[in-house]
Amino acid sequence: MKEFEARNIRVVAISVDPPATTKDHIRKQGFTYTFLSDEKLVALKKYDIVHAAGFEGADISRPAEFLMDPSGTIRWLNMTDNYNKRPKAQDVIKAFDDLKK
Amino acid sequence: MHRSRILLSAALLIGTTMCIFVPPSTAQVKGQLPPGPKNAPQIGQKAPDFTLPDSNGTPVKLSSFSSIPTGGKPPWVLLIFYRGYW
Repeated sequence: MKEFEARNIRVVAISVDPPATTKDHIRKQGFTYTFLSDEKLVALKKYDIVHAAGFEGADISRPAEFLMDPSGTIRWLNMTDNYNKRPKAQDVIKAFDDLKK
Repeated sequence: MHRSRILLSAALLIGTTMCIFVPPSTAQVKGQLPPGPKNAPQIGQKAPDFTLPDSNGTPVKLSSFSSIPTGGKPPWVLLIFYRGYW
């Protein structure tokens, strides 16, 4: 996280979990970044990453990461075909550093 | 001659059975998702704005993150969408 803060990157995590669930999860895991709840798939539909019936019949998010600059322009993104393959924090940091050159 | 015919038939039968029951290699990889989205925003496009509640239930607008300078400069924002259902 410190590497993100040092580069002035705000991290925002989004899922369909309701606020109460994420609040509990944050408390248990000690996360320090912002979590948003998209129970109605508002943002998920805008980013076209709905995984229809992805978990026990419920619509959930495909895992994806979007890095945007202060103007709101997407500068890097990652979509995966397999939710066991996720980018590491280092992958994002490297992408950021490469963009900034 | 008789015996070899039986053996041949048996081999053919077993071979055919294996072709039916061996599962296809591409289908059941653990964690596999359906094919990728077609309308997702691309690099160079503006990230769609939205307002969602945070873990306290307070509505937060995505574009507001960019306008809160941390350390004097507006930050970049990394949006992480994850599956949820912890």
